[in-house]
Amino acid sequence: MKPFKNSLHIFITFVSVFAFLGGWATLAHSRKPIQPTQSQTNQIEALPPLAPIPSFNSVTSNNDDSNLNIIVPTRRSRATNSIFVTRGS
Amino acid sequence: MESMQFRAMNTEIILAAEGNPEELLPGFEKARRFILESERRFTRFSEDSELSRLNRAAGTWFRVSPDMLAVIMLAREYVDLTRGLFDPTILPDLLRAGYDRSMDIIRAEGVSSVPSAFSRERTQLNGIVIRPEESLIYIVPGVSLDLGGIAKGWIAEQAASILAEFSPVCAVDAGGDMYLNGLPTGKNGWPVALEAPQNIGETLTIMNIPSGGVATSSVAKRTWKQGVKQRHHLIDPRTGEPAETDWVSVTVIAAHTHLCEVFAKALLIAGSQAAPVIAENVDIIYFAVDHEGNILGTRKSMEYVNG
Repeated sequence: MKPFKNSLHIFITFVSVFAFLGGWATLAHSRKPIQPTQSQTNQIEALPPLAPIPSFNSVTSNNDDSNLNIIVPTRRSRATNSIFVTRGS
Repeated sequence: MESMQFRAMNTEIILAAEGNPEELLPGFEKARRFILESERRFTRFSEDSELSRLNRAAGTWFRVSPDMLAVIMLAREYVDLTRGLFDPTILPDLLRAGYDRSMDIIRAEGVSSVPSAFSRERTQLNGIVIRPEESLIYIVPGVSLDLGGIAKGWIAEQAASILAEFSPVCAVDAGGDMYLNGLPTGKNGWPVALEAPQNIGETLTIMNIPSGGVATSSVAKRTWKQGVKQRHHLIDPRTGEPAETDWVSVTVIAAHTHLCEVFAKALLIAGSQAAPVIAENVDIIYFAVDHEGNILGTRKSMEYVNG
């Protein structure tokens, strides 16, 4: 029984060593992975981080056309000739 | 100018057009039928409406009509454009604030809806998945849509396009949200009165508006009492409560009525400090009325006020 076990150990050792060396040699001689070309690299853009929603308390608009800084003269009346009236819904 | 008036969507509808009354009548009828059909589709106060069926189908894919798909796609776009101040998923908050029946019924009953126990927790519009090419909508359980204002603006504009088949000069007014098509003969705009938000029947000024949309949003109109609290229909999505704003109403003039309706709401919620930021990159003209009854405008908006 003992000679059989020794033979088995030797067999497994040899198979492992040869398999390891064989795999190494195969990988060493295989084709290199395809590298992205410069144009492909340019196409890959990192997603921009989402801009945080500005706090309304700290933001003011610099655009004069969106700032309500003019008091419109009112022409209060009870009667109007216009058939259209806009009012809050 | 010929006109037809009727009640729909809990408000007065005016259809108006220039032309021969007999030739216009079929146009008025066609536009009226469209408005009534659309009301049945978009109302949240009827169990049978398409919107109610969509809300009930949360958790499953639901095939919607082209009209429903169009409005939901618009709504999704406006959530981003208004930085979330327009949010069609605030329905649970609206119900919690007591707006659980149509405004006509709430007004008729005079007061109060008991404060309810609807949860503040809700999923927002990212809880809705749209497959436009198949007209399929998936609503995450817990989300409910209320398309009231944006649908009203969209319906008014669509009805005006129906009417435009019969007259190039026509307009549809849905309770102050309107679409004006063409220019009245001999005029360079449509005269539109801006009503004082806190004084029904009083005109603050007359605006002169070219073809396009107009809408006003106010915190003074759809109001009710919930217990001892005075409530209104304009929910601030950031708090889930009726908005606290330093303005009483905002009027927007723009190319589309639904755009006007959405931005009138968003700017009113934003108030004087944040509104300019919200309006900055959108092609709109707007006025606000403050608590003293002053109309505030931008330099550009002055061009739309009759001298």
